[in-house]
Amino acid sequence: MAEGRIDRLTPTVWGIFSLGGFVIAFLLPVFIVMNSLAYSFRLVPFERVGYDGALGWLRGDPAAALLGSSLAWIGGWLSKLFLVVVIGGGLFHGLHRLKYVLYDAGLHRAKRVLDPIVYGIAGAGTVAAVFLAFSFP
Amino acid sequence: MATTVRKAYIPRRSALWWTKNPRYLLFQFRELSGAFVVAYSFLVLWQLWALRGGPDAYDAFLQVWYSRPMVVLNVIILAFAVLHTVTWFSLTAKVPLFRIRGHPPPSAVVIGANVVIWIVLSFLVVRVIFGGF
Repeated sequence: MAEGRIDRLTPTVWGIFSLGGFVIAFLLPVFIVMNSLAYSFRLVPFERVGYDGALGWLRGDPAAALLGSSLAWIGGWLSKLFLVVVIGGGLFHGLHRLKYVLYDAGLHRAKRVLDPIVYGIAGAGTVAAVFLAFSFP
Repeated sequence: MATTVRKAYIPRRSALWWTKNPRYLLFQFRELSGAFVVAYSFLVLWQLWALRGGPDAYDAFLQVWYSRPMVVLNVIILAFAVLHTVTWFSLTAKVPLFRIRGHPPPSAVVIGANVVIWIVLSFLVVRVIFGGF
């Protein structure tokens, strides 16, 4: 950092960390329950989690059934945005935290190397989430 | 010219410092929740990738996804996610965003409001996005 220059990066990554913290605090537990455990604990039938069920979920079928045909288009956007927000929020929040765990473990001297790796992975993962989620019809 | 020898103080800290006190342990577990959140994000990316691969690829994925070790891992991830939620709510109570008659809102009120929003949002996600049980 050059002398006298204002550090805008640090507050920005802390801001995204905080935003991600809120998103996953509210949305991640329910997502894990529904996406990973509901079928294991026999709360939903296999048809809901199988290939067709998963595609239907991404298409927004459950929301469309609830909202009616005129608002059905919202359904697909809802599931895809939900995925992107939870994955992106989780990556930026979690990796930021991990970075400080690594600092604590003695890697604080590696800040120059660690910063681009950590936020690079978070950014790449979020972009992958956008492309994967919106690649489905 | 006389030279002075600088004898720097180098603090020593055991690598297991966080096991010495329950508060440190909770702190490290909270920070560790980040690793589990990241792991779950990548698991879901893998899930989407498998879904793109078509019915056979997704069936093979589901064999792993619902295997015993994976379910155990997911329960552990859920436990860390809830730990994050609870610690995050108590953390937001420490950062007053507004004041009521010059005083920050009591933390019990902030935490209570967060829990109410959490329950309502979770219910909405189950009902609207996942179509209920």
